[in-house]
Amino acid sequence: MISLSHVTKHFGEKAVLQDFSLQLGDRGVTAIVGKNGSGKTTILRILAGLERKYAGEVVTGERIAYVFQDLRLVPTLTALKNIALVLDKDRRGEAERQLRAVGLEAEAGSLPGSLSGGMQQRLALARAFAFDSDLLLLDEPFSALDEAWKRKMLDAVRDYAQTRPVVLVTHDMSDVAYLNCRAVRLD
Amino acid sequence: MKNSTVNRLLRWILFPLLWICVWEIVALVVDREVLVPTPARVAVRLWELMRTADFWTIVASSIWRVTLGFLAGVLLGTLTGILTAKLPPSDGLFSPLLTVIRATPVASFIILALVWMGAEATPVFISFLMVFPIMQSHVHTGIRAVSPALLEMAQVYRIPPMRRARALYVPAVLPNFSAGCRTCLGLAWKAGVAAEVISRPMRSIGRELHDSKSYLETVDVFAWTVTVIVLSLLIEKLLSALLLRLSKGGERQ
Repeated sequence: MISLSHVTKHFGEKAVLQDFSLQLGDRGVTAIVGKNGSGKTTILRILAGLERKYAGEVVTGERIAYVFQDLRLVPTLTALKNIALVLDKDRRGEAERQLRAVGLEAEAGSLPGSLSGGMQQRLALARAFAFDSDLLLLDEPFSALDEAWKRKMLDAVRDYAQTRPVVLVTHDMSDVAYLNCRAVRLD
Repeated sequence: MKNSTVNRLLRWILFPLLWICVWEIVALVVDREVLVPTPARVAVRLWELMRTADFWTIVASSIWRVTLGFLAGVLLGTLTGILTAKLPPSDGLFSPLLTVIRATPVASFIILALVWMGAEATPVFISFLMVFPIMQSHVHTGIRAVSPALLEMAQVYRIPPMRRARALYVPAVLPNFSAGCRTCLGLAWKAGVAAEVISRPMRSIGRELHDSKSYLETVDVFAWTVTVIVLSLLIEKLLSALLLRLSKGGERQ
């Protein structure tokens, strides 16, 4: 089971997480809310294996999909190839399917730099949904979306979470209310 | 006529013709062929040389030596650049060697190479030495420019090394690699021919330049120099076309 037990993480002198514990179920969304600098992104980075120096115990997934707050799309690859990049060869068809699901089929050949902020965010979500993960990490993934697309993406997250755990970092409590999910508050 | 056509006409025909006119005037003023021959005289001599089989053998041999040194420099410089960028302790290991190569006068290396490896290999080695540190530096910088954020993304999504190299490293390194190749080609030519002048290998442009100077055949010195310039421009054009294809291939992936 994916979990963090008594995790403490310092950046220099500053403790970003202090004796923090969290257990995720086999499925469902866990939202992490809190003010800036409270360690929300650090929790995702620890679960993703991107932070190595911390105290405590962490059990995390084998295959992790991550929508970074700054998206991290490859600027020299088209939208379709950005998704295909993270897929095994036998699952490349999934890239087109996910691109359609986020309404970007017409932008398959476009570079991320030519897409709007909202489109880029949908593309990063499509990449994460296409990846066959056992844990999905989302860091403020809806901040640039209009209300209609935000609803669609929240529904997609809820569907995804039927079969595996999802951790959602958000400022927006309406996301938590819409998903009707467990919320962990960091202060 | 379009602006770009006018510019091209000026750049490639009118301005070069203007400088040839300046050369003609200087030659007429000096009025001593042994110091400055006229462009027409040099052109006639070059034509005479081009009609001999020896000319082409000499040109081919010099191209072969410089190209060999250039390619060895590009290959080893690129591999060393990858190594020093990805393995920081190796940067410290290679740094003194690269500093010495950059700081040592090329004439010293030519003389040493002549002692160590003989006339035939000296121009190859000198061309290599000119190219190696520049390519190392360009490739090193290109690799270090790859976004750490994208590398983290690749790590999380477990993108295999070869795919990671094609998608993240090649686009970052290619502009630096191309710029390095263009800079190095001119240097390799100049240093390679200079090494030939001193080491005088058989069938080489440098040897012809040296012999022409010894016998005060200034027309021949000019004719061989024009040959070097034309070859350098042609090879640079060829390389630019190759690099363009390479970068288009990189964009298509």
